[in-house]
Amino acid sequence: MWQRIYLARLKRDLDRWIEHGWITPANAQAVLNDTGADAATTHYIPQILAVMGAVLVGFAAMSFVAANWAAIPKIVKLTLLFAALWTAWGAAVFAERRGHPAYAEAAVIGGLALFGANIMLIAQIYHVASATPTWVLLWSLVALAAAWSLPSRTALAISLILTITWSIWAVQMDESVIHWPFLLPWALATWLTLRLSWRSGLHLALLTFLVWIPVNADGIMALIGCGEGDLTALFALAALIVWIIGVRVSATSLRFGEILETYGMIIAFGLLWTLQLQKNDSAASFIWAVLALVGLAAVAALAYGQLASRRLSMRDYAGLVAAALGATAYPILANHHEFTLLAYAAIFMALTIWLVAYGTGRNHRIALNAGLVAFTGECLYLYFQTLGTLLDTAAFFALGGVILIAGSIILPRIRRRLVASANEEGSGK
Amino acid sequence: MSKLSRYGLAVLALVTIQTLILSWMVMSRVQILRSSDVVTLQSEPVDPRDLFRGDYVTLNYGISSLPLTNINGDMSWKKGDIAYIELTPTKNNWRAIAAFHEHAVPALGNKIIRGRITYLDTTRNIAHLDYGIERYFVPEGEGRTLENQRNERALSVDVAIASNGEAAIKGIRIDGKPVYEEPLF
Repeated sequence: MWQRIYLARLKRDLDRWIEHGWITPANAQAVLNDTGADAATTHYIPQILAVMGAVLVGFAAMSFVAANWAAIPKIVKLTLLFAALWTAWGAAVFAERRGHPAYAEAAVIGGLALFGANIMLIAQIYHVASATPTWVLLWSLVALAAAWSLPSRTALAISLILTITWSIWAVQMDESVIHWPFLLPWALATWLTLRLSWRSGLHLALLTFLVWIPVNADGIMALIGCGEGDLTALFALAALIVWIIGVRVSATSLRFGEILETYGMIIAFGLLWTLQLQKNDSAASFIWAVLALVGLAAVAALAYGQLASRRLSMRDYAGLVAAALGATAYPILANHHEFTLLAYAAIFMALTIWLVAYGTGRNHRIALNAGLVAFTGECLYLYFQTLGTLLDTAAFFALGGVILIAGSIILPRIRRRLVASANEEGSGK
Repeated sequence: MSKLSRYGLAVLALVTIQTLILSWMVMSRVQILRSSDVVTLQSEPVDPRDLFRGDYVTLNYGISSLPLTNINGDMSWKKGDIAYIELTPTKNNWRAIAAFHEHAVPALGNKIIRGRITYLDTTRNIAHLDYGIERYFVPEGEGRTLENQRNERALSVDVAIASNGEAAIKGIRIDGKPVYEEPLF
């Protein structure tokens, strides 16, 4: 869909540029050919239809056997299940050989769906009540093997979804433990998304990891010996590290670097904001302190590395370190004293303004919008938080407003002076 | 080796792996059903529906909730533990007499069944266990018949037990008479 929107916009722009005489019609056609405009509108339709058809066939197979038709002996049911599986995979080979990769992909989905269905239906045939999460893991690993060996992006997506399903199920069975085994197949799948250069897959991998964290939060808190606020601070530090890594990766792989950068910044700011809402009723343990210090040092060191290689400005370096300091300090200082709350709110607001500047400076639209959203969210939070003490609220907003307005007047002047002096120095040489 | 043949070989390997996994699943159940160790357990079914696997009857047994103070064996249990329960025959059914962390040698005539503790009521010291035999899948719409039998408390289940304690439903009895018999294949 986004490809179509982009192409529609590009075609409009190209027509306009031709009218202005900036490019020739031949150049415009060359640009369209390069983007695959002709193919893009039609290429995905049969693939989408075939994939949807395969999903429906998978559900049909499950429902059919689920009807548990008693008239057919077990051996016939089992033969049908195995035959359906082999047929689906045979169809994949047939379609591939005939040069229909879209249909081959659909058959792969059908094959994987039937494998999962067969597990459930064999469990039904033999009245297995407690189909353990292990079966979901096996299903996931087969999908991962298919994704790697064929290769198949859809199989990879199925594998990631099944992996997180397996993990959630395992945690539900015993909530006191952290489901570390998830990380192994997840890491393999994430590595494969990078190997296949699949941007959507990387999104999915990161999202599944984001699901895994809260699912295991109780176990992680018990392991580290900390409260919700302390854990949030640690994950905020981790998100800041991912953000900086994203900046580094952007230098060599813009697409994947941007994804990491965007996830890092959104999660970091989301968690920094969330810190204000959480109770910090448990004293942070020694392990927490060590982890926090390591995280803080990692943020400072990694950000300095990017500063030294000119991928980050001094302002951005200071913003990242300030965010890390705020995340680390807040759980320690905040015993919900009014002053700490307001001081943190002021720091957070300053950070949102920095994020807007970061987005503007790096031409990163998501950062710009995220900064504005975070700023608005914080204003609303403070308004509701201080409801009943409207004089305090008014004073806080008035002071903040005056500082911002003053900044909007003074900063451009400083910038103009700096640019002018730099130009003078340049012309003097 | 061409790309096409690599694709074919990859699919062949994938199909083989899947077939082996599913076959192992079938054979492990068949092996339990072949066991000569069979116990009969009293049950109280209800009639829900599994989204992907159709109608089934939920079976709850006397041994599904064990008052730990009333039986012998190991103490100190926690949720998620595997428990080996020693069963002894009564007039019509079997009842639990001991619970162990490891597979134990039962007294003559007794059997050992393996379960997992799903919930531990610490105030009353009652362990709730799952044996993997809590669902009996029936043809669509036929669950109600068994549910009616539940109301009359007439339903019992024949359970085959493997040497490692794993259990599988072998048949259903109503008023002591077999009404469903599970073939191996």
